[in-house]
Amino acid sequence: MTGTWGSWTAWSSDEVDPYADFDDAIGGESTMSRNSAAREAQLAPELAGLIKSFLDLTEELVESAPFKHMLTADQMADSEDSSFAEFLERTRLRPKIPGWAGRLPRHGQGQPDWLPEVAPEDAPPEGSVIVGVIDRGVALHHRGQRFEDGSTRIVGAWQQIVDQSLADDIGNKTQKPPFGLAYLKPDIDRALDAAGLDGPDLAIDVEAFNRDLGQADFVNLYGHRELSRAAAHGSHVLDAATGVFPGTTSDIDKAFREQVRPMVVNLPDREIIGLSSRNLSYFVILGMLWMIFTADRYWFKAHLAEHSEDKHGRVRRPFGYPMVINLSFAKQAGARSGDDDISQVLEGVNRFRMQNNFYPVFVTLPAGNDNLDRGNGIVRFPSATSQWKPLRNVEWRIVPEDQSSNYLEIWFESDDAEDAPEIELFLTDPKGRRSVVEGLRPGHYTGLRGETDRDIARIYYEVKEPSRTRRGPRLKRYLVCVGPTRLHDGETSEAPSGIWRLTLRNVAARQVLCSFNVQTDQSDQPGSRRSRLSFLDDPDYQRVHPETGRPLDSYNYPEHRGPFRYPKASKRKDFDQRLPPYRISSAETPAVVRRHGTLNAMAHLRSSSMDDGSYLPGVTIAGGYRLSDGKPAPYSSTGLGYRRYSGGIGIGAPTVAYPSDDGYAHRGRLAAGANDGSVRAMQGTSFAVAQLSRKLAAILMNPANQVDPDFPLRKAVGEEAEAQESPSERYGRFADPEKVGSGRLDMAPRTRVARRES
Amino acid sequence: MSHDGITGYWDPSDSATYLSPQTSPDGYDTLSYLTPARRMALLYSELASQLDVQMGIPKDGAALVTLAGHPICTIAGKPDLPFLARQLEYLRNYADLRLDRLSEINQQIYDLLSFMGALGRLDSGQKAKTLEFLTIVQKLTFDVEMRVKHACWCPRPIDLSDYVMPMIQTPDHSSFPSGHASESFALATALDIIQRPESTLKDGLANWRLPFRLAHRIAVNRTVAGVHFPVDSAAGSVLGIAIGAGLCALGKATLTESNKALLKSFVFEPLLISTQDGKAGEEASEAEDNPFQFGATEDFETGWLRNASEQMPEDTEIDMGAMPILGTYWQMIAGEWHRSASGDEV
Repeated sequence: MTGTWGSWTAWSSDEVDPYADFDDAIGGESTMSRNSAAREAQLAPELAGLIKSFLDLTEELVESAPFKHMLTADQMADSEDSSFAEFLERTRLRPKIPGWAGRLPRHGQGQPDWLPEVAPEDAPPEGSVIVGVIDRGVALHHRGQRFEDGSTRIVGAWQQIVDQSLADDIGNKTQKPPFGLAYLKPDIDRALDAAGLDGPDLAIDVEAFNRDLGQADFVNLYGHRELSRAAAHGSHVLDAATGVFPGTTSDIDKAFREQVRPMVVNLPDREIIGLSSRNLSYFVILGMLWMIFTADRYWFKAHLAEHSEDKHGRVRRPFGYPMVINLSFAKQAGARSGDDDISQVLEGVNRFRMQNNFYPVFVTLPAGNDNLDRGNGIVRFPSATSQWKPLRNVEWRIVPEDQSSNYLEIWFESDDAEDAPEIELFLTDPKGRRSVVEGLRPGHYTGLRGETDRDIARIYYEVKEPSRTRRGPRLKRYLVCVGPTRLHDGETSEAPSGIWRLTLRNVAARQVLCSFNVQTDQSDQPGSRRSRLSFLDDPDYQRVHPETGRPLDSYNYPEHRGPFRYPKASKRKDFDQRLPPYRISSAETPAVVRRHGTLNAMAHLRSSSMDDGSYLPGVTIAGGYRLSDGKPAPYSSTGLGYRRYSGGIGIGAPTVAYPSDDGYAHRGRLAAGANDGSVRAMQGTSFAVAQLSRKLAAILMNPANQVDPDFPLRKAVGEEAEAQESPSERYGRFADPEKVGSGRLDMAPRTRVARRES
Repeated sequence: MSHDGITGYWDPSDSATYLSPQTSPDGYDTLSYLTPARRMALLYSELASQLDVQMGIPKDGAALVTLAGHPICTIAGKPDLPFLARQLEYLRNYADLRLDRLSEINQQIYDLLSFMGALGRLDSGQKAKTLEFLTIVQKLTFDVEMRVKHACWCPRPIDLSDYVMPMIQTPDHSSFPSGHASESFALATALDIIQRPESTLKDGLANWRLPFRLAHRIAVNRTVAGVHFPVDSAAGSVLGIAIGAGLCALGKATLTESNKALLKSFVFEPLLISTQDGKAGEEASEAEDNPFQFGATEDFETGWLRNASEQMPEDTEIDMGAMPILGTYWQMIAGEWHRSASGDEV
């Protein structure tokens, strides 16, 4: 009935992600400017190709491997151990978009032919380090990514959304991935030759090259256009992570150019990824696996035969190339438990690789830029039987003129087997309509009906069982969804802007810790204001300094000299007003909203030891700071409950920090713009993490570090940061670990910045 | 009255009151006796007398541009409404770049030459004659394009859809061909020829030298802004190249004793969509070997112009007769770029 909350109703929770379900229910958030039918049309026909699996450890490769412990493809599929098939099933990796799920059978069936055919002569030399960049707007023509002879250093690039007919234009002979196109080094070199110009050395017609490779697409609604702008996120990241000035005379740079080889995945348009990043993990995981398997395939074809064994039949080095994958994306909301798709796939991949004597894959992530966005909150509810009132109101402000949906995740732990929530939630919209709890069950939702017979808001309730790798309690989640407050189609209702009041009550006879996270909410185009971020409007949250009006970071930045350690409470000002010992249990503060805990929701995969004692790397995370004085960047997200790298969980803190601003008057850091030779300053932890990736690659270049697959890379970089930080000589001021992890590092200065044209 | 107060009685027949006038002014040969504005008026007048636009030739909605009576550019037809409607897709997609291009688009509303000044000194000191010549090239192109626009009138994007919402004021004149494309490519062509007299127009386009990249960006910016279709820019680029190359050819001709100019004749032709039987298709071209054809589904991309330019029209030798003012200018322009008039280093 219009204007009231409906009863709790089941949805296909096994098949459809609630984000996608809500988007479908409101007719698609893209009704704001582009229609969702067009979006699906661009992807859907190609997705049929996904019937093919991404398992690439093909029979060909496996059979050629003279190692007894190597599993055959069939064994992998049947293995009860942590095989690909298992983790793919566990993650149920599929785009949970209505209408798509049923068309995507499980991806563990061992059909490898979505990967490119590779020629051994194109393989990077043994000892090369692969740096994969998964991003948007990654240019493939920059001279910083080319060898001295002008050929590309890029091993391969998967353009996830381009017209497949473009393959013919550059004579692409490699097999096509399920959607988009994959280019290997010979393809890119052909395109560079075709666009070559007389004149300056290595000059090309950049636009013609970009069009050939599908990156200057003004034909398709969702085509790549980032490289037609002055700045492109992915180009900046790739340059910071792997670029080398073409005219360098530095032997170190030259060695880096020869030995560090980029791979690229250009992600689809933001509207396909989802304004709330709901499809991000799907494309990222596919991209990650594509890079890993393609690199493996090269290595096996080119280097397996020369892979020596010692007299005991043991291999001297692990298989494959050392690999760092840079993922400069963040999500604001999530369980932060290690149960998300990307974490599970990464863990599965590395567990498999470590068990089979492959190099592990190291993944780098940004801390995120959401520190001051007021999207994160924590409440510890007293027991229902306590004398304290186990009830709390939280005000969620949805802003006007917002053309995208808003999502709020509420997570809490459950230590019993009951499906009923310990925390009851009542949602009251700005017009005073209050939801009900009667009939609430896992896998059900309740919706607020709008004037046009469609829901304008919903609450989904789910119970997440602990996975095999996470030995923790059951997690329960409310997902609160509110549709756009501005629509232009005239056929759907607009949700009212203003305060949406969450009233939460603990009905359990114990304390319950509850976290709130507003989900990522980005616009479809850089600089666009179509999407506007909602926030938790908390009168007890101190936003700015009362005298200077400056935004308050998580901490003050006190003078501090001496060993790098937690300062005494008297030396430290926590603007979240937490009390010692600054751990997650310290939740008794006046404010619900916190800066602590904003760290990238994907950045929580912990390092661990496997059963055989070998080291299983987690993700490596970079926060940002200002290079001129070392001050942590206010926007750089804060961890919660820091513990050092050993056994620390990822949500505790970033691993280290890299500069994300040059100085007070020069915001951002310089690296490549969209066009070859151009330079742009870009700000954010995305660019800090690119420097971290460069650092990891530089460490892995050292042959001594390539011998041992257990090499604790994350620990190594953390120790280096701590060593730099420890004497406090560099900046002379202390920076809190929950902001900068083990310490502040800087990328070695590059020879110079090349400029040619903008 | 000063005259009455100081001269006393003046007998004009008294030679004692005479001065010794020049029979011709100092700087007559170099036109330096004139103010820059007057000098430019002379050159403009001399060149304008050579340019003509014949509207409605070869057919209604077409225009023929001649230089010294020789056809240098034919706009062989204009896009129809289905053609333009098809091109609206590009208006939508290029709009994604608006925020990025905002400042340069605003600046380019009235000022193109300053952007060319980024590619070489174009100041009124060292490069005064070059600057004056380029100013005249742009002014002449404007004159021609206005007549061609009148002959080939087409609606603007905003006329087809209010959803275009241009970011700048839509001008009152025809969308087709683009004036910004015409002028920027005329300037680019002239500048490239002046800067690199040893090279050729074909090489300049094939190697996509900077003046042409800049002209292309200026033209595309008008689509980003929402005031032009890609086909407008494509036609404008051909028209501008023809005018720029033609005027420079006249200049070069003044260096020869025979005053013979090598002129090219470009033909731009939009391929119209046939909507008969409800099926969209492209109408066969009247001149299928013409490289400067443009279909409704095409974008004005660098590859289109570079590929078309590979089949550059042949030169035709035209007897120009003497053009003393242009001849003087051309000598001085060459000198400004540290070369003799023949192109040798000086």
